[in-house]
Amino acid sequence: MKKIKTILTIIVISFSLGGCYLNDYRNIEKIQIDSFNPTYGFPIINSSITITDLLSAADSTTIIAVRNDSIFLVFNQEMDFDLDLNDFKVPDISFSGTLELPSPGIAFEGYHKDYKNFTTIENDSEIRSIDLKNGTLTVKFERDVIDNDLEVTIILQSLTTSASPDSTVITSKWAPNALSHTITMNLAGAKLLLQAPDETTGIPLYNMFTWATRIKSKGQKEVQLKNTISFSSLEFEKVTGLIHYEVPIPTQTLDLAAFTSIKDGEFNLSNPNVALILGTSFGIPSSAQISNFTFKNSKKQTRELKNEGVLSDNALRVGVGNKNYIPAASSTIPYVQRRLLINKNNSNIKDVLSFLPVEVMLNGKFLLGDYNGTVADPHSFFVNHGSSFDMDMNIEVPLAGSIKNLIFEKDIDNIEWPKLDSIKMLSNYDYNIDMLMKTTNEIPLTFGLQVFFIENEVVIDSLYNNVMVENIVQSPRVDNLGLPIGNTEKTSVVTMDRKKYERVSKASQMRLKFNLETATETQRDVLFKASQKLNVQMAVKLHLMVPSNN
Amino acid sequence: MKRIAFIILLLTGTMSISAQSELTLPFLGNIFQNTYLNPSVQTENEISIGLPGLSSIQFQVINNGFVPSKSMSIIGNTLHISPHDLLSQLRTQNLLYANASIDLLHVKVRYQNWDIWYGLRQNQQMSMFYPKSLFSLAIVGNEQFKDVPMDLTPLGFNGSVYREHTVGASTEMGKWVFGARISLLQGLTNAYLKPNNITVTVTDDMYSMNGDADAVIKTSGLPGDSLANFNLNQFRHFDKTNTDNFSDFSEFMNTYYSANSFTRFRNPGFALSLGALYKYDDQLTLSFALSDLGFISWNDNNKYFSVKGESEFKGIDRLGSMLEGNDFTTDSLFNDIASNFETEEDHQGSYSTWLHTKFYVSAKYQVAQRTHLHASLYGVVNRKFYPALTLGVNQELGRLLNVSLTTSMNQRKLSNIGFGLLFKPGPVQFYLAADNIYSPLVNPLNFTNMNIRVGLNIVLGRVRKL
Repeated sequence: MKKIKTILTIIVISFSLGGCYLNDYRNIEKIQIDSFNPTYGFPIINSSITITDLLSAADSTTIIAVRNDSIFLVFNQEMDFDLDLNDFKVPDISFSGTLELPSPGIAFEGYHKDYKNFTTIENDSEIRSIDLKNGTLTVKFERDVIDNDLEVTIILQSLTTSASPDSTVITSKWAPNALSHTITMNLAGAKLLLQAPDETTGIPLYNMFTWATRIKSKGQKEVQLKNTISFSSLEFEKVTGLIHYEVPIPTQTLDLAAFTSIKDGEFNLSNPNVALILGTSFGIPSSAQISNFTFKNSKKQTRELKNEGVLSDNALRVGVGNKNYIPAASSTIPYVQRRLLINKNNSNIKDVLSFLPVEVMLNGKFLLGDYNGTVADPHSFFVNHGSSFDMDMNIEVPLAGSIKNLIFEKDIDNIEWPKLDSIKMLSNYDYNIDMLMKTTNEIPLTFGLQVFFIENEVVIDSLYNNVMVENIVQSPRVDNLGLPIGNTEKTSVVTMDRKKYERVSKASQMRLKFNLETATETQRDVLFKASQKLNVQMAVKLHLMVPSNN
Repeated sequence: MKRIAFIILLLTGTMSISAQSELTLPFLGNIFQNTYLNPSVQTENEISIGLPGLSSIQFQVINNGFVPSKSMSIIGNTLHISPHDLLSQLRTQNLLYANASIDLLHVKVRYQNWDIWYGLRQNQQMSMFYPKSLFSLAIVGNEQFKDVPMDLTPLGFNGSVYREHTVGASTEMGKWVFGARISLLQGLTNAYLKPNNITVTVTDDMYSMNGDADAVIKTSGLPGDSLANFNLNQFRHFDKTNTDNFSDFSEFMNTYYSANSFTRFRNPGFALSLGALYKYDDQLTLSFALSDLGFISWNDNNKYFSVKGESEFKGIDRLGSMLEGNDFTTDSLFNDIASNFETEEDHQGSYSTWLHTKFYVSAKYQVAQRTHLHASLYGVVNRKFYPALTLGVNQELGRLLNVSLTTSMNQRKLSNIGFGLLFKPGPVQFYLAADNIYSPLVNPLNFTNMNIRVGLNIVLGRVRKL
């Protein structure tokens, strides 16, 4: 019995003592975790990019061309100049004549050659023929007495059709007792032949409309006859002859978007090219005059492109009075082009581009019928109904040269910052976030970055403190050709603590400032190649400071 | 002197190890449920009958990763937690284990010199293995894994529901009692993961990571066609997690499905238990036992989801795309990582899981007429060997009451207090055996393990002295 009591006593005491602990447990009102500071790192980006990727990102509108591993910035503008057919059309025109038949029964025949400005084409144009697409011919016969035997025939030597390839003959058909009557003819497919020899010298004359009238009558009356020949609603299919006409080139603008964000710096491109490709479907040689070729930078300053040095045949002549001749199209070659070039040997293009233009403007005119040298038969030139000029401006900038302290700026508005406080772990604890970036660079370019955080147009903080820009990508050394030797590694760290994040997250605007320089101080001239790569590794390192929550 | 030397040897030889599992139950002696551990145990009544749900309900929880009190303390109304102390306690592999079993039926009779029995019980076991490196990642971060891999290979689980049909017998031969039981196992459900390798190494200053994975999740007896239907996304919101949201688990709510699932015999298994008891003299009795040496072969609606691959992740390769203004999402980041590993779901073939084989050595010494001192060494294999050392005293209070008090070195603790009670008012035998019940009920901060078994057997027939 004594043993039983002992055992029971031990049990009761044990549980009683334990009860104290349990009471403690039940009284727990808060939990205190001793501070600990874990550090988590996580890789985000590991990617290689080329200079073409960077340029495409900077401006998606600029074409990046790669040939033989060399990179070209290509800016392109296509321009079409149609002939204004309202100026060039064949106007309505009339010819008339009066004949008398003094002796009854006698036929009379007379020819007329009317030398007129048959078209509104400039006065010195000499039209040989006009192929008509549409039009109406109206011939009106009028007599002063009733003579039922009167027969009138109009011979239009200058008007041919497929049915009448030599001339068109129109004969009167008088109604009984009628003093006049009118005959009309559809001129679709007809052709006006406006060349005739001078009666005296035999020299061809142009813009001449030739026709004749023949009358006869068996009656005894004297008759006076009036004929009126009218052309209306004429539309040409083709005009053949020596034509002089001026087509203006209104001001054409090409945006050089790639340079838009550049704010300052020295920029030297070693061999930029501008190509102007002039095309025509006119069957007439012509010339193009580029009166003004103006480059404008972001500060609204302008520089004119000018010829310098010796100009080769394919050099683009710039300036008033300087003509660039364009050959004529033909029936077998309906469209011809001429490519004219501007480069550092024939112009001041290097100076003009180093000025970091953002816009190019040009204007001038085309002169139809303006040719250089002699032509066997200038009157065989032609203009078709759909003839036009076109012009392609192609600025091609090989990425080779030097850049020093080139500054890009890009603003990003309406920023919405991630609500880090919505991440439970970050809302409860203090933290530092390190953004690690490690670059391995083969591109001969040093790339600096600064980010300004702006609120109400006031800079409230910057990404990197105490420096204007942080070089995040370092150029490798280059050889004397400007090609990189090996690569360069660079590691940079941006630390963002909770207070800084709370500060910058008030910014509604972010200004990214990039600083670019090629190679090194001693060797700035470089060659950019498409195969050169920049490897970027980015990682996030989070230092979490879990405090002891006393 | 020999006896004392033996006991001392037993104690000193095991002081350096810790242990787990049913530690107090054997000290209660002659109840049928002791045959689970040692088939050579014989009951004092000729007949023992267990009715469904009454004769034994057992529940056990183990967390051997850390002793809470070594990293937590209560001062006033504040619970203090030291993450670094917690971390310092953890081993490379740590176990979170839960087990529940219920006896459905048993009948044990004595025939001449033999005890013969049939038993049926259902077991539910879930072992979750968690590596120290997971905690280390949370508390220290991943910088420590530069060059030294974060080893997640110890990660794993093994959860089984199975039914055990047992036939056993024991007989006395001089000073020896030998016993054995053979169990036919009826596997119902299993989920199993034991990776061959899962490691993550931070390979450079930019936190590039090298992952190496070779692991297969195996399941059997789970409803549905694919493990992909688990809808793990729901765990993003723990407070809203509901088992009904497991797309196919709701099938278990279907009575027909459950009845069909829990009665079929497609996952057979086999287990053997052996025991021996040696009566050294009138005071000292020694026992040796090995139980649950067996396996279950899983064949029913098996699914295998394997992950295999090695890949270094340095970051996503989409800078060009991002410079063009395309969005970058964290999903794309994780997809990029996942894409480096091959995953495959398969439904062919069977697999086997081993039961947790247990070893038991004990000594019982009678110090007075109704008072016995006990010492036992217990061990269980659950991917590794978990030993436990128990000392106890058992006091019989007439034929009506039998009380045991034990203390064990178990699951990193020296003072696991256990309590056993056997109450026999006539033809019924009520018992309670609890290991370390003191901590969870009284001082949860000392909790590493808890085991309780309670039940009521019908005992009939002549009583013999054992």
